[in-house]
Amino acid sequence: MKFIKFLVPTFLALVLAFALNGELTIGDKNLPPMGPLLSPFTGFWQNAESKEITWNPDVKLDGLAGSVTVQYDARRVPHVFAQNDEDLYYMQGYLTAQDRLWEMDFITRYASGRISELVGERGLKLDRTNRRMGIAYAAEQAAAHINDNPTSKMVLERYTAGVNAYIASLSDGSLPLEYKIMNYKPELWSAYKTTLLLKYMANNLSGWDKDFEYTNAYNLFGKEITDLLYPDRPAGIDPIIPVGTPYNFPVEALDTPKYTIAKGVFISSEFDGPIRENLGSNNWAVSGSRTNTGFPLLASDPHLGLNLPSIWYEMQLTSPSVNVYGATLPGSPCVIIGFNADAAWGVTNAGMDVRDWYTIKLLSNDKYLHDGAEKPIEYRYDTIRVKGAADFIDTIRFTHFGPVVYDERFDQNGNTTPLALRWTAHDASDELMTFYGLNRAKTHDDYLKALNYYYCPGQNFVFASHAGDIAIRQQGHFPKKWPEQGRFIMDGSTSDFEWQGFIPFDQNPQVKNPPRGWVSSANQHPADSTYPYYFCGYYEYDRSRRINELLGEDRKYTVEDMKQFQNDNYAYYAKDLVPFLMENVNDLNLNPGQKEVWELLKNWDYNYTADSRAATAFEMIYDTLMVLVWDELQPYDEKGLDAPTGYVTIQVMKAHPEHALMDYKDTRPIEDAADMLNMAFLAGAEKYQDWKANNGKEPEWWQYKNTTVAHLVPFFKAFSRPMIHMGGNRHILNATDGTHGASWRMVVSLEDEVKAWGVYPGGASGNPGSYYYDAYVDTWAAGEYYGLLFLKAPVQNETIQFTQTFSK
Amino acid sequence: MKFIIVTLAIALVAFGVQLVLPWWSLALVAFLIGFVSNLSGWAALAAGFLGSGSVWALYAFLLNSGNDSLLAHKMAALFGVPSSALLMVAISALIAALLGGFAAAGGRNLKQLVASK
Repeated sequence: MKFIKFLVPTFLALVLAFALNGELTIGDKNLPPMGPLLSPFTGFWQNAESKEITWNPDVKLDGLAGSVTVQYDARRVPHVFAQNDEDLYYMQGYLTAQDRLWEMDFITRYASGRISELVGERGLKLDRTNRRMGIAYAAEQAAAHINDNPTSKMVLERYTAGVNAYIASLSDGSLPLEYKIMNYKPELWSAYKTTLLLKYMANNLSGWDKDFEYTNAYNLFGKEITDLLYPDRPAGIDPIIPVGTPYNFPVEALDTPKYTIAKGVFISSEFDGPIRENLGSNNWAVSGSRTNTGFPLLASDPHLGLNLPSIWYEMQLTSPSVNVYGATLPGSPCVIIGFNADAAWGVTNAGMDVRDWYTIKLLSNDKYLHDGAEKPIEYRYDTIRVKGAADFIDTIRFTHFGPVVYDERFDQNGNTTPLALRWTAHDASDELMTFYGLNRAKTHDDYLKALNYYYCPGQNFVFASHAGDIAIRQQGHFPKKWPEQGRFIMDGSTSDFEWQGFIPFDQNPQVKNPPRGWVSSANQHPADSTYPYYFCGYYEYDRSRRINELLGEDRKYTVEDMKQFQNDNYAYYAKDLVPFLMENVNDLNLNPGQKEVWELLKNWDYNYTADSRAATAFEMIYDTLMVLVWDELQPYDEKGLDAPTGYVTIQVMKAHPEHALMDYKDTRPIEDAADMLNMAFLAGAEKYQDWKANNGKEPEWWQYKNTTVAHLVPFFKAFSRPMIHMGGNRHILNATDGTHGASWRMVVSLEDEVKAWGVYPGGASGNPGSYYYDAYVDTWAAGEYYGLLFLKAPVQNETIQFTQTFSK
Repeated sequence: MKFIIVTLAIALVAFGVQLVLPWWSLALVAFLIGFVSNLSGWAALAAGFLGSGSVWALYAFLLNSGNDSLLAHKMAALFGVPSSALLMVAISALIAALLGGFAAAGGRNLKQLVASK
């Protein structure tokens, strides 16, 4: 009896301790280790930070040479004052890790195809895709190449050492929250991880193309319809380099082979339906002759996925060689978008097609055919660790083009031709030197020198200096192409279709101090047809027209104008479509519900303001219209086709209203564009009234679109900010749709004392338990800005909430 | 009186030990103090329950109040329980309380077992 009395409670205690010390699976739910997670000594309670900073004011770090002062302003942005660059980048690594360690670790694991380690088999397809696209391979190339440059090597080594010093300081309790919930530990940082992060961005911004979709369209419909649906240069584009800018350089003709396009239906695993129209950015600079201060104004707002922790981390970095402020990428040294006392710069995505696909003719397991000879295949064996299952070993073939992404081992969807990827992101490059240089740039020459290190992903770098220059250059390593080269999948068994070199950097599309007095870009075509090289890519048409309209007025511009323009909600596509729709819709027999929608559109000023109901109604009609008009192309994922852009759709409807493609196949009569507009209007109006009835409230635009700043892990909805009250949409300067938007808004006035404003949809801290996790979101949503505190030296006043000294 | 002393002893020692050792170390503390306690079986269970539970409850409560319940509400949403910081404190403390209670009773009853031989 006494033995039982001992045994029962002891047994219960042991069971409890063991069960709650590890993960538990109950039904289909997977619980984290509840003991350590709920313990106030080690668990999430330790991440429940107070709003006041309670850190040690005096920190000893072995890796420092001198003493570094870090001042945190009211928004907890760190301002770093170091005595040399070695200490500066060490502290950038340390401080970034202090706020964003989990994020940078997670993103680099994602990029290298290691999500299965955390989430099990459901991550395997994603991991294999990322690995077979060669993202880790590209990062390895870059990490090795960076070692050749003593400056970037030093910067990366010091940054890495700083991150690792922070990791070494962690205890079970101070570990970031996500590790505790997902039950894993941080890994040491390395230069390779930084290049992984840069390649993650390269993949995000240049790692997609429509070669498969265009090839499928060509094979299904022929050249004429393919060109109609997916034109290289539709009418009415407003390019980055102003029309009329001369291109004064000779261009040698390329050997242009006879056109051959791969036969078959090609469907890729990354197929995500219609083109990613929500990725993009705006930037511009206005010459001092056109501003109220007489000095240039520069604005930059990159549009990316809206995530928490934010993709950007704001910092000021000061040493004897540099004093720069701006947005940094957690995981990478230097400021990516920012300003110093003399100059400012910003980026938008170039969209240039730098990825081409080649069919591979395998001769045996380790040889492929090229120019009538055998070429060896190199093999890479990737071991993917899978949580709760055996390791998965993927075998990836490499050709001289690059990795064979699709073959019999992976995702052919019925196509039996192995396909290799040629992508400039795989080429060794050192983009870090660009940012290192821009951080220190004073003049236009400094800016050009810095840009010459930049290969991929192609960006439109806008620049303005206190000295009075404004400029923009589309910078990247862009292949020279004969007309239409790389729009379609090409034959890899001959060198005829390979790239024949690259456009010299000084011949990339660029302009300095154009007569019109401003430069701008919004992901549109870089140049018109007078640019001597052929190019193709993925371009935007609406934001560029709007910003150039706004900047083209005959008046002096102010900082307030710049802020207003970044938050402008005017939709050019609505302006293009609504009058056309009204002309074609017969309004005589509308019922009251339809009449209400009709009136909304009639009185609309084409602004997607947060509370607009007309915007919701139009969006419903527009979405329906795109489905109805292009019914022949659907289902997109089965046919491997892409929807034409909205811009092209409206043009085709206007120019070819009776085209056979206008017909809606499921109905008996043969329809034309006017019928499509009528059907879309009626269906959209019905959707509008249904939404109102189902939700019991007015379909205000913000309610319908549901802008959400989501935690990087979709499961962590509790750490996300849903239903944000704001206007905007894709193709609008305020490019905020449900999931994407301005990830950093910056306006710089290059006066004698540089002034700047900025905001991003997040906060300094990556900790969901911190007040600073999402502290800026409401300011951002309201279209407001913070004045950016640009210090020359440490100060003692109310702008600083906490000062720390770091020393050996 | 003895009960209060044992409860406090468990709470204090468990607090100190958990500053350096993992969460389950509180069971070792409760077990050992239960072993030397001279309480009845049920009293040892209650002392372990209250001593361990109160440490977690008070510490969690303290951390939560500095944080204005910000994270506790998010964690409640993550686990799909009602949005109450006090409930999260109670759930946390219950883990420590149960573990500490069983361990203290086990320790006390081990002594009875050893003493009777």
